[in-house]
Amino acid sequence: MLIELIYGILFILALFSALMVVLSPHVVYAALYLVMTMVSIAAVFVLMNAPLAGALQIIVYAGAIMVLFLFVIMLLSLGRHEGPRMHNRGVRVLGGLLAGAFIIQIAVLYGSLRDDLGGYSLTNAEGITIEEVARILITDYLYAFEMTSVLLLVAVVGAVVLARRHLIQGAQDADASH
Amino acid sequence: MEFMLPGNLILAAAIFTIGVLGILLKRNAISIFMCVELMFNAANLAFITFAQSLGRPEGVAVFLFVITVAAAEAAVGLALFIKIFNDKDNIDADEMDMLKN
Repeated sequence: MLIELIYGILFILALFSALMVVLSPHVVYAALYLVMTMVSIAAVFVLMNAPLAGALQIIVYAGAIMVLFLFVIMLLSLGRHEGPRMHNRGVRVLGGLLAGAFIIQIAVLYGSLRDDLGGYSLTNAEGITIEEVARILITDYLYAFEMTSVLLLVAVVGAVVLARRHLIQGAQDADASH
Repeated sequence: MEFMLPGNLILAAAIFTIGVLGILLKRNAISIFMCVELMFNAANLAFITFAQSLGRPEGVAVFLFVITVAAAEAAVGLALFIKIFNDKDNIDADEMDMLKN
């Protein structure tokens, strides 16, 4: 009973903050609502007995990526540029079609899952340990693991190169002064 | 705990659709990027739900890869936004319609 109550609260919280990411007019508020969405999803992970996923979500996603977002918003001083202005009629029609398709999808999903979960069950008491994840990362998924580290290196180099101003001008001044 | 499986799938579908609607309706480029992050979170929720339900650690490994790719994409994308903002002083997705510049 308590678990159901907590899960219901987290469900509504995640849904509300996801809606407010889209609907809030101020960019900083939208970023903070996104952090709240990520934290409530991490709480659902912990409630599902997967604390590794919850911890990683909070440390990496909410704690590093969203901080980067907030730094960039601060650096660019974006302020109150924004309202979710639906000024284009074609976009509104597309949004309405998408919302309708989504409601149909939810109804079908709920109808098919209500009586019989098809053998899936979440009564997995021990959960997935970090040893199992580490083992498959190093044995079965080693190639993907090494590729993501190369990807991170490429991203760091690319971000440093992109964020430098006067890159070519500085090199030309250095050549001219020799 | 049985109610969590359909509950999580419905929550993931809802957050994903809210993210797609946000991409269509927002004009600020950083807001569009934040809605992409919403979609990543919805997919992560579905991955971990099925990883727990089947008892296989592959779901958690894919979750790690999704987070890593999202971090790399955020770094490069935000550096690009800074560069565009330095030149044009305005991040409005409706006004960036020329590939040159």
